[in-house]
Amino acid sequence: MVVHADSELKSLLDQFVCVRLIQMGGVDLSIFQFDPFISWSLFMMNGDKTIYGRFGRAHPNSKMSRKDSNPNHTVDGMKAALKKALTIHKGYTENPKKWKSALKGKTGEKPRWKFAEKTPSALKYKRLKVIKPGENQHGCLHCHEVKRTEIDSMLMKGYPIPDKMLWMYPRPQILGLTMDNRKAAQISKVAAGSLADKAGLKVGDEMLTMSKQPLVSIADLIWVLHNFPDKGGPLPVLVKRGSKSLKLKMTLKKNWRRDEDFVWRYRMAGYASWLWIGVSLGEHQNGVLVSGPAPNWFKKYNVEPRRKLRRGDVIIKMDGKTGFSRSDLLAYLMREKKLGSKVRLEVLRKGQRVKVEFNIPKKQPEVQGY
Amino acid sequence: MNIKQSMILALNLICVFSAFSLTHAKDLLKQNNLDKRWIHEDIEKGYALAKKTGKPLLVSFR
Repeated sequence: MVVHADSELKSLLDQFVCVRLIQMGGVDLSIFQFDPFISWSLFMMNGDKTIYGRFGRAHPNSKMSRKDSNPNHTVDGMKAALKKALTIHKGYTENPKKWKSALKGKTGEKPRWKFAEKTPSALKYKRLKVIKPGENQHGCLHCHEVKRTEIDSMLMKGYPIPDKMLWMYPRPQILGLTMDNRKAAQISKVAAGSLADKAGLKVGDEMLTMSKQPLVSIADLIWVLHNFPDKGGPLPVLVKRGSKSLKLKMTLKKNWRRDEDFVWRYRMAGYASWLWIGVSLGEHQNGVLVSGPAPNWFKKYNVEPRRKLRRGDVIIKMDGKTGFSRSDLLAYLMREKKLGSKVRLEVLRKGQRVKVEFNIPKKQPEVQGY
Repeated sequence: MNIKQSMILALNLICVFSAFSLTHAKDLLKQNNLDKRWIHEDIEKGYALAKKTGKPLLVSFR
């Protein structure tokens, strides 16, 4: 409906071949990598599979990540991205060699599994179904299930889970940036003392490239961050300020992405916390808050901690460790503990220190659709 | 009207409304040209058409 109310958008869409994919079954993950915890993602690309850019990103309000009300998805922002992509397409068509290196990073590294429905977890539980045209779409493979089945499969195989899989698709705020949702990649706020501030980025700067990749949207900026190495290092940016182009540089520290909280991600929070600790987790100044039990439909998978932990408990110690965030806690459980192993917690309950021990379930849940 | 006649009438009404709903949905799609603009669930067709027309591809995941 928006398309017909907006002649400019209609005219932009007319310049593209539009493809709509409503399930992730059969989708080649060596090409289509995007933040899976969102309801909508766009790729702008060439017919030879060279990617020009992405559009669409998650919102900290989990409900907004799932609905059209996500304020990150503005029509103006989308139009700006489409225009930029059309400019890249023109340049790429005229001189592919010149653009090839700049666009190379737009395609992600080769995934361990090319198709989500072929991962060990999906094959074992037979829970991910590829729907054929005309079939009822109930039970099809959702975007968020791609990440879930990938993580499940890594756990099953005993492969280490890298930071990138947990602290995925970092938001621009990690650099101290707030971006204007109505523009392609324009800064609307710079946090004082942040990396962006130290690098000299200013409000109103239009970010043209980051790590030499052209940015058509905020999702593109996030894509660059997602693929930036954990060891840190210099992150070059090219910005347009008025009539000038400026080359600036932010320097990221080692393990930089751990500064972000990944538990805000809908599904990620559910997946990780309900499976590993049986409760939902919140933030608290003294530790990690137990904000409530896992939902009833999940309870049979993780009975013990659900019974032993209470709403309002504050987890202050875990296997002798202190000073952790809820993301640190979940990352520790997922990466350091095996299924079936014991977890020792110390919690604050009504001002008293209480020891809580429980075993992580031996089996992963066979729940579809969360 | 007896019970049998009432049931027949009700069944007829259900059929009429179902047919109306289907027609209405299809008409809406046609009016909005949504079925023509978008290639559904066939990325290979999209690649081929993009190459043929020289247009870029817009792939939507929803």
